[in-house]
Amino acid sequence: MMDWTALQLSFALALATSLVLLPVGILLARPLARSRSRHRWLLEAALTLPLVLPPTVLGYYLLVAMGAASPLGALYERWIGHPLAFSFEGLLLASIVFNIPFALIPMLRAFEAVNAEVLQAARLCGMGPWQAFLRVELPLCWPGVMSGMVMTAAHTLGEFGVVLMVGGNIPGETRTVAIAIYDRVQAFDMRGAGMMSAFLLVVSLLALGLAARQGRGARSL
Amino acid sequence: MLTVTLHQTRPIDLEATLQCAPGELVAVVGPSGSGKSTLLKTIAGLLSGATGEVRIGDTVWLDSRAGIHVPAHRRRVGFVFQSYALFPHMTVLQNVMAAAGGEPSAREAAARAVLAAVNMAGLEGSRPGALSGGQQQRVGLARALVRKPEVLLLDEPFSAVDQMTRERLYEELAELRANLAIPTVLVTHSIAEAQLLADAMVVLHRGRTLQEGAPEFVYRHPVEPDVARLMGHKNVFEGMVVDAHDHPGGLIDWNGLRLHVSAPLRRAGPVAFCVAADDVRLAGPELTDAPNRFDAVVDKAIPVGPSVMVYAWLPNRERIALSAPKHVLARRGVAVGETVMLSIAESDIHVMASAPARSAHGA
Repeated sequence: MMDWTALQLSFALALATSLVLLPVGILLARPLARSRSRHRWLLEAALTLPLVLPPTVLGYYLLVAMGAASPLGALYERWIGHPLAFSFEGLLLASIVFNIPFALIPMLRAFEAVNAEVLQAARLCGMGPWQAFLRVELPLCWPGVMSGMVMTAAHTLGEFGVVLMVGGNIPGETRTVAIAIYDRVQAFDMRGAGMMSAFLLVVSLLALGLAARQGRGARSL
Repeated sequence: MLTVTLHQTRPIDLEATLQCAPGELVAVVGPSGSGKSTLLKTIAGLLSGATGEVRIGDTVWLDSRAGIHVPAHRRRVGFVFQSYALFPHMTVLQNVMAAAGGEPSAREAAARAVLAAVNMAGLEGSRPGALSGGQQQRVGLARALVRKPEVLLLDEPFSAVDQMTRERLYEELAELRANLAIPTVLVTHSIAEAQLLADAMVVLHRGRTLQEGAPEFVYRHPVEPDVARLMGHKNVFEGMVVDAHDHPGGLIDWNGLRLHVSAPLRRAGPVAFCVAADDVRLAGPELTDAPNRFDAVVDKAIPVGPSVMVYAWLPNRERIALSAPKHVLARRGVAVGETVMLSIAESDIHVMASAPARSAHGA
């Protein structure tokens, strides 16, 4: 059987992660694309680290950072009243950190690809910095930005290791569809696992197709 | 009147002054990397590394001493880019409207009018990507003009288009200028373009403005060797003034050759001079008593259009260039390895104001 609760949770997580990473990704990508600093490589490496780290390693550090013993975990628990780890909010935070490269890289390439003279032309057409950004720069980067969003959403739907480490397996709170599939296999419910897997496969394929269409010019990962 | 005085040390050196009256076109000429674009973009307010002053009439755009730096979007500048820099996601009409002021309906009317003026009527709905280079540059010009700018800045606008288009654009610019009562500054690496289009020329070399004046005058009277070479002079030499009083002009010791010049030589010592290649003549028997006559051995003869550029070694081991029509050379039997007699009129030797071996100085 399909675990609709898990599916719903996965979609909510994917949507929330993408929505948070939309402004965050733009805020990181734009200055990074313009930067001529010698230390740029260091920041870029740090931001793309989640691509190569085993999810369990990242999950471990996130779990430690969110635990009641950490300043962040303690502060959160005092203010909100329940622990950050093993909650949806904690899962969302982990998901955001884990997805930064998936959102950032397509956006970074898009911002880098904008001709600097086109932006100068916008200023000389009388547009202030904000107007030039909204009317010229952002529309030109939009395929890359959208591509980053779709990659993030698709990747969030499928993430397993980090979710298991940080969220555990709490139905309706942290059990995502990827965890649910694992659960079914453990319980020898191959039919349920198969249905959910097929569903995830189709959704991911559609998402990537959409990203490819959006980013015809902009390169994705 | 546009007046510009700029100093900058980073990222590149800039030591530039420039004046341009309303209706006048001043060409800033210099080789690649001389700081031409930096100068233009600093005037426009796009770069902020320089100190100094930029004024247009009574309006101050930059006065670093008074702490004034008007941002680029508040300067009424029309700027045309070498790379066109059109907004690729907008139509031609939207590109031009983006720079127009006022109500939307007024903006559209203004944009259509200026597009018609640059012969782009009928293409308002096209995207820049679908246009040729020349068409894109016309849109770029329309976008610059629709702002009703106080100054028009052209950054190598013709260098990315083919020769035929370039010549048509020259004519169109010359036509447009008749109705433009604003200062126009054209940046170009082409001396020919400056001579064709500009009322005055500013020579920029390594960020310094070396000389300012009418193009023909600067060509004939470069103030220093760098300017002479930038203007395309092949015969730029150094010598010593030996007698500042002999003859109406004076006498230069040119590595052992004696050279009479008619220009006044005010002081003895090292001096730089130049001779245009077409002022170096093949001497015949009729010129036997001309003062500056030398034997020379022809080193190279390169046909350039209807004439030939001949390089020849003089007895003082200097190599001189002369340009002469093909038929003249054929008649004289000039060939590589042969010895010919050359003459230079005293009045064709231009002695430069600044002494050689000194770095570039303001004009």
